[in-house]
Amino acid sequence: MTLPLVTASPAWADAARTSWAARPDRVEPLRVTAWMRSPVAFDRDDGLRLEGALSWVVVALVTGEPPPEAFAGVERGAYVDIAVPVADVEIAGWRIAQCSDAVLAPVAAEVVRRRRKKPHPEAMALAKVQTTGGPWKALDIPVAAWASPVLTWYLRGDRERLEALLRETHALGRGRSGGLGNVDAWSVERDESAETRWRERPLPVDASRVVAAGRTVRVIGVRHPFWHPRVRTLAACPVIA
Amino acid sequence: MTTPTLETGPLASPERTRALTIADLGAPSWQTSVRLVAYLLRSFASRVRASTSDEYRVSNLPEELATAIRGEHRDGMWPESWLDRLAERWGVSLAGSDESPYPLAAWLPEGRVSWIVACRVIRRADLAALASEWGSFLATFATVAPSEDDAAILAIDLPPEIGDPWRAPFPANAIRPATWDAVWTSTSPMHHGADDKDGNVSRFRTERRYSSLLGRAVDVPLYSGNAWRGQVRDLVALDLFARVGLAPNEAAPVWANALFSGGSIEAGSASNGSNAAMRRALRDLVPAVDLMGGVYGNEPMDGVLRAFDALPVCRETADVLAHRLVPDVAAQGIDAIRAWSERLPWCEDLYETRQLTRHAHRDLESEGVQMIVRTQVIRAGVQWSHSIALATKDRLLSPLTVSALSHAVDLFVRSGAVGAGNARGLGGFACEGYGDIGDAQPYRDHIAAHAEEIRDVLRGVRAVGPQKAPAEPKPEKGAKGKKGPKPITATPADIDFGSGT
Repeated sequence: MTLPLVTASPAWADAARTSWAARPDRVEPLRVTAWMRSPVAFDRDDGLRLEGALSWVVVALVTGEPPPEAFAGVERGAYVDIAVPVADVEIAGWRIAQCSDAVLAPVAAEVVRRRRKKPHPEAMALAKVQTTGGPWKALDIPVAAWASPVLTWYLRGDRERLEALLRETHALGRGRSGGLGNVDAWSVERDESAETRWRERPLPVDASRVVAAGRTVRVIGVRHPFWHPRVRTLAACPVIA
Repeated sequence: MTTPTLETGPLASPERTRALTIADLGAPSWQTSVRLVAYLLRSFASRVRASTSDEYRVSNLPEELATAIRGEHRDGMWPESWLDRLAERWGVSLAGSDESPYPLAAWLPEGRVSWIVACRVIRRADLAALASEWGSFLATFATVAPSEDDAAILAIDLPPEIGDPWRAPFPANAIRPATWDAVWTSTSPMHHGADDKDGNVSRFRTERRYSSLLGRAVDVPLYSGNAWRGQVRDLVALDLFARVGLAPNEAAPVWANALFSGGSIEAGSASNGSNAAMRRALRDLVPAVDLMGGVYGNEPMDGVLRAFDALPVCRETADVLAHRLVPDVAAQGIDAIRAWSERLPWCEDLYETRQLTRHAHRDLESEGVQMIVRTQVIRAGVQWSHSIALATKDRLLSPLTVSALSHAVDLFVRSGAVGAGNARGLGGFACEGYGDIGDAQPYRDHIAAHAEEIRDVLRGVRAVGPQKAPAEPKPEKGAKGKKGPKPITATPADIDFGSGT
């Protein structure tokens, strides 16, 4: 039995697999580089993984809808495996994609981007609009982000399909609709080092095995979508300096 | 020996009156820059105290100086310009005046250095590092009494310089996600508020970014993509209300809030799964919702619009803007881009400051107080590069969503203003548009054809999407159960968003 257990499979999931899964005879070691136009917001401890963004695009392309609508009819909490053009491997009983976390440029720096939202009291038919709390609260939320001119992933995947999806991927990370994580350009190149460097990501661990040096064990999502409770398990994660 | 205080003056030393020359100061170095900046600021603080009659401002000098040290600095700035801006801020003279007949000088233990001599020796990179990281330290040093520990306090080690900085390779044969691009030319100064406060100066928003052309990180002004979305959201919402013949404040507040501000999820609202039927129906009925997203009926809905940050066209941003602005040059490679960038201004030359005075009108016996506010702006004539995109363009969207984007962009371009302070003449721009987005007319026709239905939905008297039986109520909790937060009361009428499966 391989985890995570697939507990739902809407019709479009098969179509996605046919159109977008990595074809075994086309898998090769690749280096994907994103040239960033703006800082990208993500939790450094959790890493920024490419499969999550790719799976969003796959769902949109196959169904013509954003994921919340595409998943209508899928029971709440059920797990749907979304195919992406990255080869899978089984480690400690878990099926994971052979793709590293994003590697930041050596000059990357942390920045804070504030995201503001204000209500428009004059447009609302209320005698008084409380903007300091409650439903109409004005927000000024600091978002930690990383300013890095490039991000790099090492993976084993199907280049042709990967390039087609990257063409539709404008932004990564949180706050991507409003200026954060914008990608200017992508490049995909063959890189033999990706045969091993794809392992620079959380790898599920067998509780009885000794964890390799330079890694720390935490509970973390190991398969996209990473927020899903069914994909969380103990994993050996690269230590972030 | 007693510790000197501000009142007793600097430590006595026979050498202090000796005028030092550039040669006396030796080769420029980090340590020399630190000492000169610190002692110059100490003399400067003393001069401010002597010449400023505003007691509050004098008592607040350490705090204001700490923020001004960074706030008045721009990347690449000469020390003379920086000091000049500080002097202008407090209205003190660097050259000398009736009150202070001599030019400002740094009173080093070994002698005094006129500010024009000191500024020739302070390196710009050192000043940038000091201004960005050591503002509070320098302000404190400048405003406390001299001490025998001064030399030790100023012995700051700098990380070793990197001789050959890392540079990102330029993309060759790159895949570029499709965008629509525009160049705005400012016809009046533009302002976009920074996150930090700096006394009575409203700073322009900047962000640290690494320029691979320059091989260093720089603070670059930007107009955030989120701000652009907010501005366009307002324009689209106002336009929608006008087209359906409804005033915004005739709509239910939750609808007005959702359309103008993106909405919010009610505290304590029961999550009953995603109401896909309502979401689809709403996206179809109001294409602007599909475009901008927001929270409607406690349903967070993705918008497909991706708004990039607008960046000024300058040397610091040339590496990311070249392929959009001068694709022919970018195609020739890095050397051609560098040559092109050298014809652009530095971003420090894009700033200027506007002063606004609110008069007290004491002749009218009002109780108002005079107020002076300064606003840092990016000057007129500067060009900005901006891009927008649609997620999974051409493969996902309803043609009406693309048409809605075309209409929204048309509203923005015709508004002719961007950023803050539009009412006082800031933010004017000219723009030829974003290229061929498509025909806006189908969106306008759709809104006209469904005006009555949209009006009823906005007023809260009609549901969106198919109806279904309400979810079964949750079993009541026992005595230990918490009382849930008070839900938002929808007015003027209860709102039914529908709840299809």
